[in-house]
Amino acid sequence: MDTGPIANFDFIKILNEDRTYRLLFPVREVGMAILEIYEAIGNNLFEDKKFTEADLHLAFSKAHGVGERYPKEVYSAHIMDLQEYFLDYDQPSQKYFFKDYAFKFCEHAKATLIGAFNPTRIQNICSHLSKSLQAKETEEGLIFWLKEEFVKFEPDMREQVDFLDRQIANSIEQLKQRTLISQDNFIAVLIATDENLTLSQTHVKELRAAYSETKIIREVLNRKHTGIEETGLLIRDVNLFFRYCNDRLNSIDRKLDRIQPKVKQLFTSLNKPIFNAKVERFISHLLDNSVVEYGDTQKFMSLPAGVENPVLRYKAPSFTILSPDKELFPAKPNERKQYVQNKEAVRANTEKTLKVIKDADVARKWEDYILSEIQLKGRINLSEAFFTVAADTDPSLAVTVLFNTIRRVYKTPSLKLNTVKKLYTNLDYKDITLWKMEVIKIQ
Amino acid sequence: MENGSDKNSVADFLFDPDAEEFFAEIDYALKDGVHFQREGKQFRSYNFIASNEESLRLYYQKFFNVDLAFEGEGANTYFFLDFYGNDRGGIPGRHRHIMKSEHVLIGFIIYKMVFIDKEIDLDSVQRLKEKIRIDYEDYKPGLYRLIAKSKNTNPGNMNDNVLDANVQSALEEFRKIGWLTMEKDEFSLLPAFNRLVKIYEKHILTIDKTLNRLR
Repeated sequence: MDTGPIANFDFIKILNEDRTYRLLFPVREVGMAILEIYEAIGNNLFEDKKFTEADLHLAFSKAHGVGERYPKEVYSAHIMDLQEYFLDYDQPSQKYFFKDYAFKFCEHAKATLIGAFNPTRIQNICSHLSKSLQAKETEEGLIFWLKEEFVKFEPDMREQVDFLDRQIANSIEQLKQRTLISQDNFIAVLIATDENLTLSQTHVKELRAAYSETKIIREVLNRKHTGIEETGLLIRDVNLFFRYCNDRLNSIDRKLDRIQPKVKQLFTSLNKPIFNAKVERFISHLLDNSVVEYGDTQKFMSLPAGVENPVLRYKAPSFTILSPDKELFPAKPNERKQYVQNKEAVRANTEKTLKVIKDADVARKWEDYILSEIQLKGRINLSEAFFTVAADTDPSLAVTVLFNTIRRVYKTPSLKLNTVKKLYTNLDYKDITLWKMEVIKIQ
Repeated sequence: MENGSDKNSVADFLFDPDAEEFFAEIDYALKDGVHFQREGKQFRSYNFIASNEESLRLYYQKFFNVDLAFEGEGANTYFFLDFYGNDRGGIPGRHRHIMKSEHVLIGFIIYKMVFIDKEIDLDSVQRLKEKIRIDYEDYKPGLYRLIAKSKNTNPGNMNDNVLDANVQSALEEFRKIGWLTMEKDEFSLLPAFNRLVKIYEKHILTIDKTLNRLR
């Protein structure tokens, strides 16, 4: 799917160009005429939903106002404009019919004003979306769902929240128009408002339940997301939209929580219109007869004579808290423990380490010597070499040399170790006995 | 109970199992002018006061000479310490806090907006300020003179700014004493807000006489 043109589309700039705005959003009389035709189509007044130019002029004249001269030539120009987005002309029948934009324009306005609350529809939409999402197996399918299917229903979901908001505002608006209502029927209005608000509260609950499927949609989306950036961004938009709906429902809920107790309070204040009038006169009294006085440093307002300021609280008690100043009395630092080095142990360990290094060095030299002897003479008596090393250094170093040499012999294909089952001893080392070992250089 | 009688004793509340958790905090708050109602965070404190009402009343009467009062109807009831109705009790002057006249006036205008003009969905501090400035044309000269303390009673930036700041500080004061809740731009009046009208009830009922006398 190619997002290029949409991504680069500058909506505002295009609207500003030429007469695009006027063509999309016609002036009142023209728009009203279009809506008039839309209603007539809805009532099946036109055959095949097609209408004549005369029908259009009739609609224009209605919108223009009765009793005024109808400037037909002006409206003929409007028809031409409307053909851009609203009207299409069918030449064979010489009749006009609505383009898709005209239907959408009117439908959206009507749906917004009717504001039918329909949580069941939302529930159906959500479960439809959820099912169709779960059926998408491929990345393309998922992107199609995000870009086409979800986007199509998004306005419907948003509209329901708007509707609830408006429903509450309307209920309250009725209350405020007290000049239009007498005291007697005000009670009726108040009861109706109270009931309406309770209804709104139920609606919020129903809508919230209807949206509950969105949780599943979110889970499925997260599961299906394979880490591709474009899909990730689209999924983020869906999540943001759900959060937006949720936030708005919460805010409507809070609003209702605040308003409802006040409506109940109004029932009590109802019985006292005379008292309320007196409160208003008292406010005027405060405004007219209070004075501004001059204090030591600033001006202050004084209530009218006889009206005292309420004493509402003690000045907050201030406790004297005794605690030493940290700057003046810093906490005593913990003594730092000094560790003394045992020089003897250090020396002994150093010596030991050096000896190990030195031994390794000596052993390496002996190994090299033995191997070079083999290279030179073609063979060597390894058992004899052992006792030579032992005599020159010590038997444990000789073991290391012997072991390493055998290892190196094994790794060198041109050398071979022969072991004869015959003991080899040395008079200087009576407690050491070896097999007779010989290394031969293979030609 | 003292001497086996049914009479409430001043010390009863001390034996309430919740006393340790609630009393100190409630005591500071009451003396600080807070009104307690069945509302949000105050719910449990309200219940503590309600179940120890008599004992607490005796306590405040005996030791502080102030009245633990109870007002309101139905679900909209609230408790507070009445420093006003009892000749200001034994509270020394330096411990008294008197509500500013500016706040009294702004309080009354908010009352009129919500309970007389029924702006019950008014919940934004910003909108409240705008409404006071824009919708209450008749009050404007008085508000500019008394609150902005300005000789210029025409609308202007300076006057409006001072007015807004005073509305804000009035709301802060009302929030402290439990007359309303306020969080950022959102505010909501609590049942105890009616106290303002209760305080001036006598003056309100006799306002016509007062005005006649002034004429």
